[in-house]
Amino acid sequence: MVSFDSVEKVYPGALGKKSVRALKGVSFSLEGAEVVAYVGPNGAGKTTSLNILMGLHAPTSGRVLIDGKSPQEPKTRASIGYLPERPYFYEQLSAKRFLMLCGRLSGMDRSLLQRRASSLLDELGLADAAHRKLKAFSRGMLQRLGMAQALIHDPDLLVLDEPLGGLDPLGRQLVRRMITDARARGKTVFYSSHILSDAELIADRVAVLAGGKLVKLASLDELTRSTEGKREVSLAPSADLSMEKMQARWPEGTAVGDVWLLTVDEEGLEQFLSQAIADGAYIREVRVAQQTLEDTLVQLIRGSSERGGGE
Amino acid sequence: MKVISAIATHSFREILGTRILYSIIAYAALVMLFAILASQWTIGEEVRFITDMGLGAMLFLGLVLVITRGAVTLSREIEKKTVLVMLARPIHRWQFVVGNFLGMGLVLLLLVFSLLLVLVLILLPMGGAVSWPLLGAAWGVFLELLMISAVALLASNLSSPVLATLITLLVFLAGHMASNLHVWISQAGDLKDLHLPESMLQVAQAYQSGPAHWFLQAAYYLLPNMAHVNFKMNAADAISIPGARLVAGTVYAFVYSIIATWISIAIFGRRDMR
Repeated sequence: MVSFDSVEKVYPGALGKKSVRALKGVSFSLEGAEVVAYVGPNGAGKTTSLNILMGLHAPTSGRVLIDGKSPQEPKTRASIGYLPERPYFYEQLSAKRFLMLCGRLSGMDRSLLQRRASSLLDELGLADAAHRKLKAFSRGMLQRLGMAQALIHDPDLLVLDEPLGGLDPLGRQLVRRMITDARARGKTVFYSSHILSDAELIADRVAVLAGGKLVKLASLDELTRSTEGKREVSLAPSADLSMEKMQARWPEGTAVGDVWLLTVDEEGLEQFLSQAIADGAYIREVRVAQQTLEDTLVQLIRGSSERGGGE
Repeated sequence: MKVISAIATHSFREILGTRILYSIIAYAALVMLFAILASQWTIGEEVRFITDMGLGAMLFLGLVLVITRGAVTLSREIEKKTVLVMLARPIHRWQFVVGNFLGMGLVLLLLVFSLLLVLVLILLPMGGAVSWPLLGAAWGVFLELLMISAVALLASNLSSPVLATLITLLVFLAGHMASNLHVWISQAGDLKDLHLPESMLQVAQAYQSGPAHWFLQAAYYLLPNMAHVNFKMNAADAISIPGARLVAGTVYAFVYSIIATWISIAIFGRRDMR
């Protein structure tokens, strides 16, 4: 349904500033009813990708197709619902009138639009504020209204930029439910987020972007399964082995407080521990490794920047 | 067409919603009141004076509206990112630009009509009448505002709101001097007959040929020539406006506005919406 094919985006630098290469040959595809989380650090190129997907930016090279057509063609966008990051809408409009405008621009029939707008406002807990001007809306209310406008024309593809940002726990739960409901109705949801715990709850697949490159696109199971058969070892420094020496000896580890944390394969654990003791380290703790999506993401991003992906 | 009308209606409501129009109408009424008071000192010339003042105020208030709203339309939409939600819909970018321009045009039409009504209501008890020259002059004010609104839209497409406002104001002022510019660059032979001081004559002669001449010539054709649609003196002096002049002015204003909007579309259609 959606395909990114070697997409590059370079923003030319203004007035002698360096140009910025925001995307470096990103390729992937989305198919059928699924929720795909697009994650990565700030400045990774997530919003740029979504803007290209919406036809708001033109790729410098490569192409994006939705059902075989370019998103720059207005007709292609008829089947997409889009929520921009930190949405800001026309202050003078009421929520209902804003939804009516969005629906009209999507070519919806007036009576259907009336019903759909009322039902969405109700579903998102905004029914009481339907006739209130948007300038009186809180950040969370605007975010929920943003979801409503993205869903107003019942699109097949939902493109959401940080849909859970600015929401309270109840709002987040509501939006998560709307996303999973959309998948249950056969829609594709592609959303960017910094909140990985939400991705763990709702995403079928996770695409990791770092430094403008797609580092990994895999199922959630695949990204968290890799911890099976691994142990987490905490080493404390001694007079013979300082933290600096441990860092030089096992650079793949991480400093957590006053210990050096390492993940070791179960088979090699005994040999590793013997060696560490011989080198002078104290073994503080050994436990079954619990790899979260965040751990995987951090490893992938680090690996990518070491290979030069985060230039 | 449905899309354009939806955007134009929305744009129209947005501008009205800011209450600028209401304050302008109130201000206009105040100006008319001043005109009545001032006319006490112009015995026998009250109608002429109020007509002249009224049309001038109409243009000024329209210009304030264009500068405060028109010159920031696109740049504000982009800056506040409201444009993202609109352009993510199945619409062409040109429809968005045209819709916004038409929305502004409708507001200007409503403004000119409302102010004309106020003017007429003040003029009638003083012996004035709803004459063709007055209607033609008000139409001319609308055309002038329409052209400057197209320039404002283009400027807001190219620069920040502050710069766009400045550009629009400068084009408006220069547009009022466009006719003088034409005289300046086309009457080379007549300069000596004007008996100008030697220093001014030298400056003037420098513009008769070469790059300076071509620059002024280009400026003349690029700027909206407001003299083509300025019928205020006809209204004040109750002199009928020749039909051909009215038609030519209308055609000129519409063609100028269409070209400026078309350039806006060409620029807006290519830019990345950040």
